[in-house]
Amino acid sequence: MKEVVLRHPLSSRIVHFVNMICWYGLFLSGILVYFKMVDNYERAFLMKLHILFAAILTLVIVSYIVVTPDRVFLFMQEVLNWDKDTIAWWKNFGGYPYKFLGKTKIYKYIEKFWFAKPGCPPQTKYNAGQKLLGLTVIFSLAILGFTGWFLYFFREALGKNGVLLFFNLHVWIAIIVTLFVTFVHIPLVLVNWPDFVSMFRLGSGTVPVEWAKEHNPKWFEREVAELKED
Amino acid sequence: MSLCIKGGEGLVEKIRTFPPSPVNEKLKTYRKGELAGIVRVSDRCVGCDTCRTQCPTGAMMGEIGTRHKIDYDRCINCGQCLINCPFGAIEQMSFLDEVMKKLEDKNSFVVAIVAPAVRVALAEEFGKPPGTLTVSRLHLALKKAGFHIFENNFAADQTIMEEGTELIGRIAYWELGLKEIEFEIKDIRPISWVKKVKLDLKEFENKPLPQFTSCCPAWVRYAEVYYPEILPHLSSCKSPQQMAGPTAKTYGALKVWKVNPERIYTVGIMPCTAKIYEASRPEFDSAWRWLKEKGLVTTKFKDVDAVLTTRDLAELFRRKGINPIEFSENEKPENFEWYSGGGTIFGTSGGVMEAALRFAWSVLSGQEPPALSEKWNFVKVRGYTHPRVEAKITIPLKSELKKEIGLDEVTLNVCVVNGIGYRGLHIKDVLEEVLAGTSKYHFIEVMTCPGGCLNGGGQPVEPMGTSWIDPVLPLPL
Ligand code: SF4
Ligand code: SF4
Ligand code: SF4
Repeated sequence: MKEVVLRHPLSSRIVHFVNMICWYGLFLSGILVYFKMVDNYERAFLMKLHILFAAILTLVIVSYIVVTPDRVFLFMQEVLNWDKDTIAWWKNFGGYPYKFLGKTKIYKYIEKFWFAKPGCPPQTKYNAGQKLLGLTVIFSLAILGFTGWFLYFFREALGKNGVLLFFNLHVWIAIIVTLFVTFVHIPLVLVNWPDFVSMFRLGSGTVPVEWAKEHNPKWFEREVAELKED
Repeated sequence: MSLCIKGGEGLVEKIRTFPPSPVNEKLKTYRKGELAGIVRVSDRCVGCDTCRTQCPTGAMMGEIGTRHKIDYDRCINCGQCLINCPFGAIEQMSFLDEVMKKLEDKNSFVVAIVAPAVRVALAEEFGKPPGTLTVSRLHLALKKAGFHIFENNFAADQTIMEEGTELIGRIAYWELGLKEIEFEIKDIRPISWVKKVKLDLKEFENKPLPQFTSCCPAWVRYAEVYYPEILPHLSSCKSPQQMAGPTAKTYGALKVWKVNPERIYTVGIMPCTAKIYEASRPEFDSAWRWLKEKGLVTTKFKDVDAVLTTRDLAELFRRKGINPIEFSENEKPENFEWYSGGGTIFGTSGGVMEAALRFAWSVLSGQEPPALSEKWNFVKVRGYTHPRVEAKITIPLKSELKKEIGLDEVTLNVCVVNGIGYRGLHIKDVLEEVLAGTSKYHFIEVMTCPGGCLNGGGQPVEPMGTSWIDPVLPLPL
């Protein structure tokens, strides 16, 4: 049997899944309303939907924090752990530009640039790009949740400048982060197919050992060391 | 056209304006001929829903995320939605272009009726901190722009004499059981004079207690639309603006300025959007009716021809290149520029009440304490941030009254409604008690805007919106 290692436990996968559905539900409803792409009645319905998605997402995230604080702690520890290899990853974006463009004609024009060099320094469970995404999602969820619920329940306490600030932060952070997730995170995960499968398959959230060794050697070594200790 | 908010300070959007048009005349109104649609929601509305929770009548309609809409049958034109919209999405009707033309017209004698709350707010539009006072520099700037001045505070003094007299009449008839009352009104500085007033109290049979103030046109409209049974309780006095207009066009024109009344064009300069509609009410043409009876005029005109808000006035000054802050604050008042402290506090919640109490106190006690005496100081009736305040005021009676009624003093129960509140929250039970005959009050002041006219719909938009906190707090601050 193929050797595997657990990458995404069930609780994290549920939260990721709910987050994904709600995020895009919130984004689409928000965009249609903000840019007035539909008429007034539909906007009223979409805002109700927006608030429903927000409530579900808030509930799931709060439950995740309350029920599995250890997982939240480990996740935070991982995304905040920036060692020299994490920094080194940014020198050539973990070799991704080379991976995508190395065999194309364009490469001869860009091979002299730092970002086009091949190779990838050893990464922990998440590579530097994923860590940045993780931090971006955590902070944007916090800001979007805070500004959104504050505007919904307590806007009178903010003053007009406060409302404008919260409103614009809410709208533009949501748009920028969604663009980042849609055009950077999703394509890169699709390239790393085993990671994608481990997150979305029905069944366990494991990845093949070989894949883990190649992509996240530091994490793999630590997991193996921990298993040996056990 | 757009008007800058405090010269574009902060993130808050500019308030846009639009001229009155036939559309406004066609909107259905409570009184035929008056203007409606003084404020309107534009396409810029993002549906944040803030305005709805500030609307005292429920006229502002909409759900979160949708473009909001005003039901003009229910709107009282207070403009609270406008000054509370963070997105500058609500626009105001403005007579600015018309007034500018009149100022250029050599045949027109343009009179500014300038309200108390304007002088404490205008400076904000010229980069000064909120509350900076402009009194004589405002007068000088207005004169430079081509206006003649009729202080609305002077008219507020007229109002308080009438409204105070009416209150005394109601108290004497209903509370003291008198059939007639005689008193003197005196010592109105700078010209000392005495006027004997004798009231036949029979006319108060249909003017019950408590008496409500009537100087806020949005409150008057609220009463007319939502509680018409309460109208006999409203003071029968016009607001200061509507007293100033006819006084300027009759006494002012004939005795002071000596100009043909038909040439006079009166402009209310108000902190208020409801005053725009008030000036258009069809019954406010008393100067014309009086002058016509005397055979002095032919063409029909209104008592107040146009109203500019504080924001409009700032824009007028900007267009004319006038900065009121640069003028002197030491100019001596003349003609209708004089007024009392009672007149000037009309601009704040509790101010009309305090002025009326000073008047009643002076008349019933027969005393005239010095200006800064504690006896005059009825600050406990000031609203500040409390939605409603009440007080008991004891007035010692002068000897003639003591003898006649057999009492040493009277105690008045008064109440100040500081902003009608979301859907009438601050006022409903006061009105219901009055209608049920269980109200303990003698006199009730109502200001539609929280804090009074200082926070009116025509004022510079304050980016932090201090009145906002109320709806989210269980207790007043
Ligand atoms: S406050 Fe302004 S933006 Fe918000 S709903 Fe009202 S009109 Fe629209
Ligand atoms: S807040 Fe005042 S002006 Fe605005 S809709 Fe309500 S009643 Fe009309
Ligand atoms: S409180 Fe003053 S500013 Fe507000 S509606 Fe009444 S008169 Fe106008």
